[in-house]
Amino acid sequence: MSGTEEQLSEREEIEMLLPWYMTGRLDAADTARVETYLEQHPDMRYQLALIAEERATTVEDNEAIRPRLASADALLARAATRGSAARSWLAGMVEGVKALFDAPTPGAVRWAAAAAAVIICLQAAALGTLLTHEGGGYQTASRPGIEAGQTPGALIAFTDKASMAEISRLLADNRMRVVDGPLPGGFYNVRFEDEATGEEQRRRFDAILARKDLIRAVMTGR
Amino acid sequence: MQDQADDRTLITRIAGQDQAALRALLGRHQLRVYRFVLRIVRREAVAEEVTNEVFLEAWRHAASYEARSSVGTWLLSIAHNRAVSVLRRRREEAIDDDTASAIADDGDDPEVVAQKLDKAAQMRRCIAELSAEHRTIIDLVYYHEKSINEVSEILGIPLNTVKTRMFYARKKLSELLAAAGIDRGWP
Repeated sequence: MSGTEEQLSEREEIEMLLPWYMTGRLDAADTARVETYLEQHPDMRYQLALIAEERATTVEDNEAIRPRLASADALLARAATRGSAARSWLAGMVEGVKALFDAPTPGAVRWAAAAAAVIICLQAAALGTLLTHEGGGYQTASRPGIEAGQTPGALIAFTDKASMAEISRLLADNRMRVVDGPLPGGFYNVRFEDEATGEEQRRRFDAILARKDLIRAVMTGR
Repeated sequence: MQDQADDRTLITRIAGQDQAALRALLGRHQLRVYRFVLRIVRREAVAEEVTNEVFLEAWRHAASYEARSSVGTWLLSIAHNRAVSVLRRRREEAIDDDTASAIADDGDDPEVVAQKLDKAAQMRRCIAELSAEHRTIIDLVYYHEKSINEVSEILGIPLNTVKTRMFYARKKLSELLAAAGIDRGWP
């Protein structure tokens, strides 16, 4: 390779680095390399003037763009809507579970039926989520509290009329607390605060379910 | 650096479904992401939709953010992928109304001609005439001030390709300006 070719190659290499030199985004080694070259070849500084011109126009062009952008609330509403197709099945099944609790059948039968229904709900939720996200271009979704292994107490949805004070009192009276939420569908992941026995858990759930004015739906995982 | 640390904190909080953190993230990045997307897709409604999708994806997949790059770079990378998908679906890139109106024709009145002779306006028009690839890299370097490494990550191309693509984008821009009667003395 001739000396002239080497010189041209170096010149082109430096020319390629100049835009980042102008924006201050070159690393220290390349910055030193460019500065050394510019000292030795002051004619190259002409390029800096061209780059400054290009940059100014690009910045002006971008800053002239003043859009109306979606608010966080609108985005969150969309995020909830995206999941709603899958969870519309879920909502129906959850109501079914609640109906089981409400039905005038022996307690043991109701709990056994509810447990079976909960498994179906969780499977439906997983399948429904997959279908929805394939249609919407998503690969996965974060669904804390919905997965079976992460449902320590129950998923509870409250009515629109329920106030925070009423909800807090109801949960405190039954020694439960919200550990996560709101989840898609308006559910909250609620956990027992103590090691209640199965019989005691049923008693507390019955007490909660009796408050139809506050409770919209309940889904138990264990 | 502090901004980057704050951004990462926001992403961690968003992974925990913290809505206030999403609001803060939007405040920091939404406009820049929108501008970046609009310059690629050239349709306001499409750019709004793509921008919304970018932040919805961030909301849903914040836990997958690995902090190998800044949050801004991560968002622009998502934005680029989605914008390019839109362009591919559209199959061919149409010149939008603004660009079309800037191209001189015999019916232009003297005032419009004078405006179009303005160097900045010509520069603006010529940048708009560049290919989407060239416009995008010019925006990333000049407006978003991304480093070579960051551009490489956002566009998914090798470092050397970043440098040569920027070089040829600038070269093409000079050629378009020369064709419009503005000789910059380079290349």
